[in-house]
Amino acid sequence: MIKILLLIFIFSTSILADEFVKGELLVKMKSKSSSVKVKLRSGKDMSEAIEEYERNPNVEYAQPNYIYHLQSTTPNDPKFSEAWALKNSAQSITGATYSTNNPGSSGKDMNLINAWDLNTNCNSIIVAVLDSGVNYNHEDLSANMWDGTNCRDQNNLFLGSCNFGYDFVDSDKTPMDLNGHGTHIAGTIGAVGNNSIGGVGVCWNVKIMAVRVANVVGELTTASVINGINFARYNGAKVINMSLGGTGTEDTAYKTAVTNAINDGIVVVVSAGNDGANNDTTPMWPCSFNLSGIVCVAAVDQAYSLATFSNYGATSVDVGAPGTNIYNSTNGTWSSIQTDNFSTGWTQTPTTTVWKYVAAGSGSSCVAPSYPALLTLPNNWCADGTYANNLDQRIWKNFGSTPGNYDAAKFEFEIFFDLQKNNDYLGIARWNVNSEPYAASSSSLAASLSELGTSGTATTVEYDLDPCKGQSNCSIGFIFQSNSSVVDNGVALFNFVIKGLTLSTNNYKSLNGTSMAAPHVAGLAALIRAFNPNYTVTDTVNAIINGGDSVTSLSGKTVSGKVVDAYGSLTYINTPTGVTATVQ
Amino acid sequence: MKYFFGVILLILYTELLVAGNSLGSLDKSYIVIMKKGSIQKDLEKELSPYKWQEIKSLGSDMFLVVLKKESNVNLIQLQKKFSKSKKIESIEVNQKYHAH
Repeated sequence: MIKILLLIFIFSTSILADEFVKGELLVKMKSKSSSVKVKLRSGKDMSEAIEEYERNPNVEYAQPNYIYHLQSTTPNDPKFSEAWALKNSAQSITGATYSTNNPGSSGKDMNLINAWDLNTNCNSIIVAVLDSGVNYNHEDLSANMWDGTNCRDQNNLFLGSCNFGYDFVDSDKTPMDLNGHGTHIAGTIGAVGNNSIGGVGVCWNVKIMAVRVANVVGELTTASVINGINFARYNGAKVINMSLGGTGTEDTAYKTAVTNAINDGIVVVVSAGNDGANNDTTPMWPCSFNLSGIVCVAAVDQAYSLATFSNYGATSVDVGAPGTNIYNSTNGTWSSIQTDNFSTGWTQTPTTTVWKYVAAGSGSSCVAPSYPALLTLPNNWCADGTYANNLDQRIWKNFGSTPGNYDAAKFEFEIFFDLQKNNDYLGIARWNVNSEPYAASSSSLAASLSELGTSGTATTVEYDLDPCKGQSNCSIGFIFQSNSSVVDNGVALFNFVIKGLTLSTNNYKSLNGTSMAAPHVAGLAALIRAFNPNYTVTDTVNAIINGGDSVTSLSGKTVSGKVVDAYGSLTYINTPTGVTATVQ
Repeated sequence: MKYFFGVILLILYTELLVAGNSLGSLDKSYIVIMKKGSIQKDLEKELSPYKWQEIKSLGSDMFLVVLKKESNVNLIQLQKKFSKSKKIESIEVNQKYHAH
């Protein structure tokens, strides 16, 4: 039996060990616990010597003394040198925006160089990226996209051919990424490896399913994500990555959809969140769903410290993975099209002076004088006291055709607010008309802010300009409505900017977030499942967690206290599941 | 022709009504989980007291329901009503999430 095992071992490692020391054998006597090295006399034939030893009943086995080499499978992709998560040589990362521990510590990486000696190919695995879509034309992703032939919808009904996935935001078959988030995540999972282009994913070959559930500004709903999960289920995904989340109440429908996916054999990898918060005390969904098939991932930096922004949780966050200065593919370039300081071109109704432009540096005591120009209601933020009851005061400006000429557009601004919560409202609208947008269509409403209440610090908000796409007019408006009771200090808006997206197939950038950590684990899940095709969800999760490396920074901050280690996971020996034994 | 202008006026009037509504009474969006074996028709019947804008299957016995403003009903009232339903398992708000 031992000889058979030995032969299996020799055969299975023959790729690595095709040389041996001439004139030397390792001989194991049955009475001894280990083998001894035997030098043969000069000219003695080695196979003859092995046969002679094995004829001896006291010898358990005799074999050549093989020579092994450490292998290091390194891809030729030019941006691989930026990928500290895959190989950390204490390099500085281009375009880094997270300065702590950049550069980091050599060797603090996912140990993929060794893992790739065992497997680089996840082509048998479909990984569904539930996100803002994927730029499926990207030079370093297109070859690894799921082809979408014979795709089925969220009800498991035949849809025909889809383009690499499905778009549940616009309800069509072209899940193009109009944000950038999803394309970066897809690259981390499976940018084509060893193709001399761009970067490299955890998997060199894989099938990435693009499931667009988030809009231009990265927002999504329970409905879109449930659609996405069911689409992934019915189209054969083995791994789902969801680098997204939200606080609030536990969402039963969302949890049910995730449970169904896990029961269908899908490993679900999610991000912990970027608030630096404890998910055990302030749940972040889906991370905090108490489901064994979910792997929730925190972000570590280039020295394996917990990233300052990363959420954590000793009972809710499972494991850590690289999430700072992650350099990979993106969908194109967002550029500033137009800024506006609210000084000209804005029309308000019904009264012309309720909304007011306040020049830069002349803000009241409520706003530091260094603040830029403001659009305020009432007149001068809180210097003029509170706003009036029973207002319906609107202000708008037409920005013409420019936003509509881009692949996508959005607008951003900063806001101070002090409203009677859930009673008084600031509406934000945009529509393709040269008039007040909300009056033109109630569908123009991008948001109605009332839950904000009061904040002493400015908040940056952003909204899509989807209705303006391809149109010659693009009006943006604000509507302030108060009821007949309590009044507060109102709102002040500043730093208004419209941005346009130009898609491209060869853009790359460095990003930070637990969103960037999760796809490293999703890629690893695919690598494990491709390497061990019979692994269940439980087997895969066990391999991810138990194959990881303990780090002090995650002790007490995550369930496992570990960062992922790809080689450790591929070589982790699972206790078989589904096997029962009878004691006799 | 009179009919045509009548329709136009009606549309304009409707738009003005919409525009004049409070931002605080936006369309309400919910997720409904149906009990096994129930279908969309059952859901439509359960929702008959209300005006709904959209009912859409999300798969796995789940539906997105968007009620119109004038339905004037909140989640608590809906949950109370449907707690006795033989067709509806649960109803909850269609929540917002964000990419990390």
